[in-house]
Amino acid sequence: MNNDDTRSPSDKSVSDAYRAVADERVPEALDKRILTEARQATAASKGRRWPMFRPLAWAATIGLSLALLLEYSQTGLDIAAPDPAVLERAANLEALRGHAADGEEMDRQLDDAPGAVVPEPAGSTPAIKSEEDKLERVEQLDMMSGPAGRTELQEAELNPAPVAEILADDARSNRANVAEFRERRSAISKRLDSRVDRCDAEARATEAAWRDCIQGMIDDGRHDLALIEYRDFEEAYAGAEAFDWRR
Amino acid sequence: MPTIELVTHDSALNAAPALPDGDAVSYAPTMTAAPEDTALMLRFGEGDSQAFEELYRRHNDALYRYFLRLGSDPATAEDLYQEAWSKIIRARASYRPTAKFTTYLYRVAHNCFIDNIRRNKRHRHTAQIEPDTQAADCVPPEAAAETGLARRRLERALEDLPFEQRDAFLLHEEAGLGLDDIARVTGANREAAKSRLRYAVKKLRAALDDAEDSK
Repeated sequence: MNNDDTRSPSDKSVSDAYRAVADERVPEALDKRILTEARQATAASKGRRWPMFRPLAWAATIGLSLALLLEYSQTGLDIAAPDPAVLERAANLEALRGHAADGEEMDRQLDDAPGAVVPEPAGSTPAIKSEEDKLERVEQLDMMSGPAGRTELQEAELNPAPVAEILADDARSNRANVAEFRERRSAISKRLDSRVDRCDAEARATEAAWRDCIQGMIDDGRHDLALIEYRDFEEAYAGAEAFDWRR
Repeated sequence: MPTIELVTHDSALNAAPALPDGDAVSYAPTMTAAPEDTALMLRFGEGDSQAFEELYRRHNDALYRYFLRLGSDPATAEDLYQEAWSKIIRARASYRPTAKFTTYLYRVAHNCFIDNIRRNKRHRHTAQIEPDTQAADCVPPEAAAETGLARRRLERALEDLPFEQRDAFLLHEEAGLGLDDIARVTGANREAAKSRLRYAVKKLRAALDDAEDSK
């Protein structure tokens, strides 16, 4: 009691009377509930008092997750859907292969027309073949807009020699472009071939050959492609023996 | 919330309501060798549930009677009692010994009671003591009858007190708090606390005297 309580307005008889009757005690069940709550609270907080074990817990969680993933992969019973990014990459590679095929088709067309004659645009003016034709055309243009109003195109029409030279230059330029395009296409195709080494028709001919091809991809560490190939394989040979993805 | 100064010595265990004539009556057992309440609470905050159990055993019955006689029916008293201890348990990590633990405990309890009144808008002034909450001691029938009569008389007198006076009286008797601590718990100033306690004691004394005269 505080020292100043000696002046508290208390009364011994009242206090005694109160204490004589105030003898209630807490029900045991209530005691147990509260003490249990306290024990549980301290037990729960003890779990949070070891931050040094947190990295260990993370490592254990990651390790367990990897183990589960490998287990599923090994059994081959429930392969998770491949990463969308992998599928997208494969789709892009296929598209590039398609472009490469288009390039080859273009090559053939170019090879079929070795003279590199630039096709005449539809609706253009017919070529001027004689001096009479030229004079007639000059008169026609002057009547329409006068000598000063001739456009460059009209001048070119009246003087076909420079135009032929220009066209010849264009054809040379086009040949150079075509050659450059072929080189680049070839380089891209080589790069694609080195990266997209899917199992060809020969490898897919039999289950064993196809399996060897896929297993080879796994062994080389090309798991993305192996997974894509595996999907086709699984469709063809459902229930086949699982692959060893751990290599 | 009033500022509470640091009290390093927890005197609540040896506290007794002061008497006008200066006599000291020890109601609580002397526990000089036992750890102080604040030390136990700090140990509990560090995860020592045994410390809490020791602390709890020191204060459980008094706090229960505080709720029971403050104006709650037994069921509500139990709810409030559990709520108060739950708050103490939850706040263990943030507990700082800025005052006696008893002051801290009864401030939490007082606030629980006030919150309950606000929640329910009305509270029952009748303290209904159930038989199973009574002391289990075997007493002779005559003594039991006399005690029962005295209990009803005192309870009736307590019921007739205004809430603030009853609160001050119970904090003084059950928690062993002095005027300063009563003021801190109730949020009143010291003079108000003193006035409330004085009126409470005066009215209870008058009620007891009337009962004696009527015998």
